Amino acid sequence: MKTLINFENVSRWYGEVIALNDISINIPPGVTGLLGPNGAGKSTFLNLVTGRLNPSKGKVTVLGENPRNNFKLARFYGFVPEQDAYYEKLSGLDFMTYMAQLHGFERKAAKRASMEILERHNLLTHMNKPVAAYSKGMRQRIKLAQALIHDPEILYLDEPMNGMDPIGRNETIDLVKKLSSAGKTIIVSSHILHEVEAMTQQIILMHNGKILAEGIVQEIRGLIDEYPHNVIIHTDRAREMASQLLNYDDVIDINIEDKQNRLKVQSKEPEKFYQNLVATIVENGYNVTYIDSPDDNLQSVFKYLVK
Amino acid sequence: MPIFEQTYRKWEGTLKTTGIRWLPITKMGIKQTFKKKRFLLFFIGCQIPFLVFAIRLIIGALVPENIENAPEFLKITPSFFAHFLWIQSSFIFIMTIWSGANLINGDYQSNALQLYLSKPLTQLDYILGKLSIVAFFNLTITVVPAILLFILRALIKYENSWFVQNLWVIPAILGLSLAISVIHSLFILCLSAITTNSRFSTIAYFIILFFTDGIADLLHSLRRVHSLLNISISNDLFSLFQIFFGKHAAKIPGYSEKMADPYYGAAILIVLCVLCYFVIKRRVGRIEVIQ
Repeated sequence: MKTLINFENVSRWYGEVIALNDISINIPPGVTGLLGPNGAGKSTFLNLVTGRLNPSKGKVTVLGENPRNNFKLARFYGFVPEQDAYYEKLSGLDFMTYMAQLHGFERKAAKRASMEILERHNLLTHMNKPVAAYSKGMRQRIKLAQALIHDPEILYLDEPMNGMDPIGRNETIDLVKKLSSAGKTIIVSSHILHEVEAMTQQIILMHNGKILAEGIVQEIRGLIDEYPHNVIIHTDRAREMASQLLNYDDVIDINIEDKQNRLKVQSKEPEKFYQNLVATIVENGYNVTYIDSPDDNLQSVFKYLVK
Repeated sequence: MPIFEQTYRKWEGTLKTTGIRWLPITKMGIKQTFKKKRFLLFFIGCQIPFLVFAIRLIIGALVPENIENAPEFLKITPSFFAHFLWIQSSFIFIMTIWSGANLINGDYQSNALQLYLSKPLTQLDYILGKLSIVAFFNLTITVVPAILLFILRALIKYENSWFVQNLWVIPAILGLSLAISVIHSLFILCLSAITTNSRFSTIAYFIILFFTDGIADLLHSLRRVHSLLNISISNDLFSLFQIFFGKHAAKIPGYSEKMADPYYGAAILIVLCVLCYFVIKRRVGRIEVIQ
């Protein structure tokens, strides 16, 4: 099998902190999920493959080249950072045009490519609005669009679904699948197993800078199902939503914090839960401002694996 | 409908880059800075000395040469152009702050740095792109009007001897403006790279320039050692006038008080510029560590 990204005994430390510890791995084409809790070394991994960092020890190659200070390699990959990263005052179109120009597009070509990609990401009608006025989902989509504008071969996604609503999550999952079908190689980092699982079966499980497991999604799935999946929801009518969610079989427990209109739901079947959640929101017209899944259930699996 | 093979498609072209990679950064920075209305007013205000000098030049050119005891300020000598740049150098100070104080820390705040560095740009491209924004504004109030004044003098009253005799003024204007602009730009970028917002970088810029000025004046008045004037960064910048305009710099009104040793001054500025560049490079390449 062809290898696109190769790590050979790679370690990276920052002072006394070891972020990656003697990692050797070959990443083939297709979608690969980089799964691990915060601090596992996922971001360091992505910084190494994008050339922002040099390994303290070992060798990293991407498409057969050393990515460090290799600006030419950036033409072959797109990077979607975890944090919001844009100039808020720019309109969506101006932001995208600028990103395209940084890739070497001439102004007219940059504008044309920007409009095409904005259309593909359902942002064309909002292209003249400043990015500051975009919703969380729109911001995520434009962040993804900027990484795809030059039609890269490899796409790095750092926690792409953080803070996204269920519809946005589904859209992103669909897009990753489409890109994968189009022959792109995608590395997606996440701390939520079921999100990664929806995109790929090929998983690298990271913890404390080490690779615990590779390509064993079913096995991980089995382990994680033993632990309840936590979802935090901020909504205008927390109590009412809680009573409706309790009707579903997969929901084990719900904690309500009235003052913040915040629900913490525990479900044993996250896939099913998210489907039911979308239906509940749409049918009852809840105003949901925030959905997140903390990684404490994944932590339990890691604790189990490292025993 | 196209059917794609679900595998990696090898790029068959050659890896090559075209054009100046950092130019879009500069263009965007200039465009965004010009969108600030107050900045635009200031920018227009910076051209007022040009109008005053142009009027002075026209009057000077029209005064018959055979008039004895014509006022000194009506004579269009190389010190006329040096004087113009001397006045503009005080505007450069504010221009630099306005156009450069938030260039890098603004990117920290908006997390834009990681986007830049995931594009086909080196850290040097990024720094050059940002540096050129400040340098552009500084040059538009120095080199552009100064060269226009020179052309205006040549057009109003063309004298071959004056033109040939003073042709060296053009490279002097270019060299001095470029040196001052780049030095100011590097200073502010460095401060922008080590601070978290534009207010801090502005304050730091003020403190460094005025503090070193005060220390230099104090020590010079106590010890009367000429080279102590070089402690002041402003004096070092002013000393560049002597390098580019030679003895004509001394005719600039008020210049003698600031006349530090030009070669010490240039050496200090070169060291500071190299230091600033490495600080910027280090800060731009820095990665946040989540433990």
